[in-house]
Amino acid sequence: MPFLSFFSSRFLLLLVFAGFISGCTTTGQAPQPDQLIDTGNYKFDAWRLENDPQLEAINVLLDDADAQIELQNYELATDKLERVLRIRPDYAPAWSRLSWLALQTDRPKRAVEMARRSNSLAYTRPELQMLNWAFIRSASELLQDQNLFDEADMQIKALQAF
Amino acid sequence: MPAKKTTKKGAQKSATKAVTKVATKAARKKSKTGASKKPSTRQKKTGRKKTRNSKGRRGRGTGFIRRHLWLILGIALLAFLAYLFVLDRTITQRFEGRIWQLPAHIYARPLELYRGKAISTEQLGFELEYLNYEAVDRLPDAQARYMQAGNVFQIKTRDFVFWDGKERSRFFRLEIEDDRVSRLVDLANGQPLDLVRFDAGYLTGIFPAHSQDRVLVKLEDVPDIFIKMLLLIEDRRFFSHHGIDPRSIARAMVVNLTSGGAVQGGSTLTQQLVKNLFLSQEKKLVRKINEAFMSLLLELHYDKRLILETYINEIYLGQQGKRAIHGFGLASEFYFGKPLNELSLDQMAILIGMVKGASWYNPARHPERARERRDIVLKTMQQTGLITERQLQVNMARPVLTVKQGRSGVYPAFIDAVKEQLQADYRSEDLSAEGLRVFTTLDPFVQHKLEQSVKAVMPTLAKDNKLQTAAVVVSPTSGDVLAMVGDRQPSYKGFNRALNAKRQIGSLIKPVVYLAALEQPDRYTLATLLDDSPLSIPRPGGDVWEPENYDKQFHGKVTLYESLLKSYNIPAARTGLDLGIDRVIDTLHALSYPYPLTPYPALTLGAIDMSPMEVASVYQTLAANGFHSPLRSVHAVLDKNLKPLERYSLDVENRVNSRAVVVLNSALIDVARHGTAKRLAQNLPLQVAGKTGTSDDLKDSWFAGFSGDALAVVWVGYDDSRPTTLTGSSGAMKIWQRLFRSVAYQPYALPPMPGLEKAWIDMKTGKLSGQGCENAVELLFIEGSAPRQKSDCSGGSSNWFLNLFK
Repeated sequence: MPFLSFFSSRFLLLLVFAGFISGCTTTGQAPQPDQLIDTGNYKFDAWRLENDPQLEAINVLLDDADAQIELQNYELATDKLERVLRIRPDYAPAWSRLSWLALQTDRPKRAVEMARRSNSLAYTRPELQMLNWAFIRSASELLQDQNLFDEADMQIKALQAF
Repeated sequence: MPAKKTTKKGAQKSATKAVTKVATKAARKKSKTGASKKPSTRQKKTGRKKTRNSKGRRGRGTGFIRRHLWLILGIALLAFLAYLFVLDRTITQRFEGRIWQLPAHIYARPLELYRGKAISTEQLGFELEYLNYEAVDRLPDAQARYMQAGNVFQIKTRDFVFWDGKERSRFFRLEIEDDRVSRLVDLANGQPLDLVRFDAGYLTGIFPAHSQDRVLVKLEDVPDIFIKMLLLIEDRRFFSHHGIDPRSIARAMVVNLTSGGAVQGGSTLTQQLVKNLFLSQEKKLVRKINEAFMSLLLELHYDKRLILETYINEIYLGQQGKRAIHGFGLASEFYFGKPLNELSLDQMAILIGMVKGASWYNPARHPERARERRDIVLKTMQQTGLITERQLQVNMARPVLTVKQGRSGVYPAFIDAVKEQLQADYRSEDLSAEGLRVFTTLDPFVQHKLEQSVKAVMPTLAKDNKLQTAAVVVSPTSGDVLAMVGDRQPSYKGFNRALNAKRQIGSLIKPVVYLAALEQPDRYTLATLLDDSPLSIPRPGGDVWEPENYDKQFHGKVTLYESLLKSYNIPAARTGLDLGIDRVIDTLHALSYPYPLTPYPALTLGAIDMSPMEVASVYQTLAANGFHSPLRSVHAVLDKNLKPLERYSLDVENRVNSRAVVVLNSALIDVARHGTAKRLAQNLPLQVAGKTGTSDDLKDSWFAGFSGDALAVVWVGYDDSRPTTLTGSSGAMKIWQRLFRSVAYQPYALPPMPGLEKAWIDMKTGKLSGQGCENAVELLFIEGSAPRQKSDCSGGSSNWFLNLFK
């Protein structure tokens, strides 16, 4: 009984590896997630856009979201990102941004869930996964959840090692 | 209540003082001129004709009046002042506080267009009609107009204020190819356009008890020509009188006397406003006196422009059922489907003509009368030089056209869901009085198609019209409720089955039972063989629970996969009992079912009552691969001044093992291809996943399924729980299928998630098999959980390296 084309896990691993190598060749050494968060520079490389026919619409909304973030209008920025997700629900960088925004607005539990959602869609994006785990680690500190911190830390190290 | 109020400070005090002063002076004057002496002379003259006793009484009475005239006058004056004070308080209290109770206005989600957006020309045409855009045969020269030529649209959208700010009107060209937007060009500059957001379509209002509805407009937003036209027809000397206009009254009296009836009124706009706001419509002298004094007081206190603005928002202009249409702002939307500042001259003249008699000159019901009245208004304008002869001819030549009415309240089931969500944050009196603007998640096209599906399919399912249905459509990724129907007559406002009918879900529980199993990959996989043999469970009361399969047969050893596809009962019950019913309940709770449950064996076969909305919430978690988003019907709320009040943000929570959900969903895809819902595969062009549900004795027919962009749950059954002749696939699924043929664009695709693997499995033994082997099916497994034992046939392409690239 045929399924639709579906990646085997091994093939995925190959893809992940290829993606990571290509990411490293364009951006040099993988950045430390803690540094990324602490710098306050929210325009992370891991949020770079992908090629998509809906990209122009998404770009407009992401620019709007950035403009609102500059003004610290986090609710409006969140609204713009949710519009992105109505256009492309599987757009992992938008979920990741929502996680970052949740951290800025002291909602660590929400930050964890948004980052997990982003990771569930970012199979071929280890740099984005690492960033999301960094968000989770930061959130775990706010939640004082040692188990979550350890899990996030372990995932970051594994991704860095990979 | 208008946003801008111009109150003259202390006007009330000074007015009362002034009136008191004048009255006191008059009293003093009368007492100085010896007014008390005269009545005694009069008494002597008249007293002669009376008897002695009566003379004495009269004499004593007049004497009393004479002696106490100053007192009587004083009391009369005080009474008059008290009367004025009461009138004054009535006016100021209303104007200083909330002039009107403003209903909440509820809007659908706005349509957003961008290159690549999936939309058919049929849907876009529907959306434009729904928004009351006017189709024209030339380039649109005003907002809310469009020109269509085949699959090419040229559209000018409306300005609109959303939660995140004002969306300005856009003028653009759009092309649709293969049910997608292929080109989007800004006609203002010829450049490609990235994103267009339309205005949100009006759904209905939440009205106060008196059911008055209005859309407030500010005077500065009312076209100048409209104001001139209104004053010309209703009150030419508005800016020069003080509330009442003796000249108008005299003119009206002359006209009425000469014509022998009441043909002309002499009331000013202020008097009309006073009558509408504070007084009854009865034609009594007392009311007229009150009206005159109140008009004077109103003008004393408040600026002319505020009075005019209030009049424009107060005037009664029609009725729709219980809903009373007040104000030109709402009347403009109601009759012509556009805001006041977009009306053409002839449409303005129709509305102003309606002031004379809203029902008599109703353009929707009596277009001929409305046309005659409109022409009188236009001719008056031309006679006074407001418009030219040519403008007169052009506007008089136009037909009286109104937009279709009756949309209000047409989605009662969805509006119930909106109220339910809002009631968590707002008191019901605020919802009907504070003029909130509520932006909902309703997709009008999906709602339209759902209603069409219900209306088309229900008569085919049973001869009687007692058979009922309810359905909910949600966005699988965000939990946004896109559409809802609570009755076979979707516009019926009674019992909302989508929210409130709790019915046994039958086999819809099976994915929950099997998910609980698949979350333990060391014990259960899709290839696990389950026992489909007679099962007897003693009950506490002494009897025995003996579940049966729908076909009354026992099938021996069957894989979990086959058991789910064919919806066998006994293997599901055994699995639930093996896992522990508490474990199944935990999984159901994790999937969002909120209520406590008592563990009993029949629960594993769906002996649990749930509403379609609750089922949709559970299945949303499955459709989003384990990430639950609470279902929401409202996105945002603005206050009456269009300032953001509340935003209901997208929430998400990973409730269950995503890999287990994806494995389960791979089987639910096959339910829709080869299982109990296999008719879907023959009728739908895209991949979907779903599950049929049938309760005991065919009392309930369910179907829950999802594509990539929509999830719908449909229930069919009788309110009194008598048996139907329907299973899930022969009843509810037919509505679901018809709906998805027109609203689903994205297939449900299994996410390429790491940690999963596929293997060919022999359905007879549950062992590894090979492609091409008899009874071999390719199944999905959480990595490491696929069976290791091989069946006799290993097939031709079991090589793992080749499988890597399948």
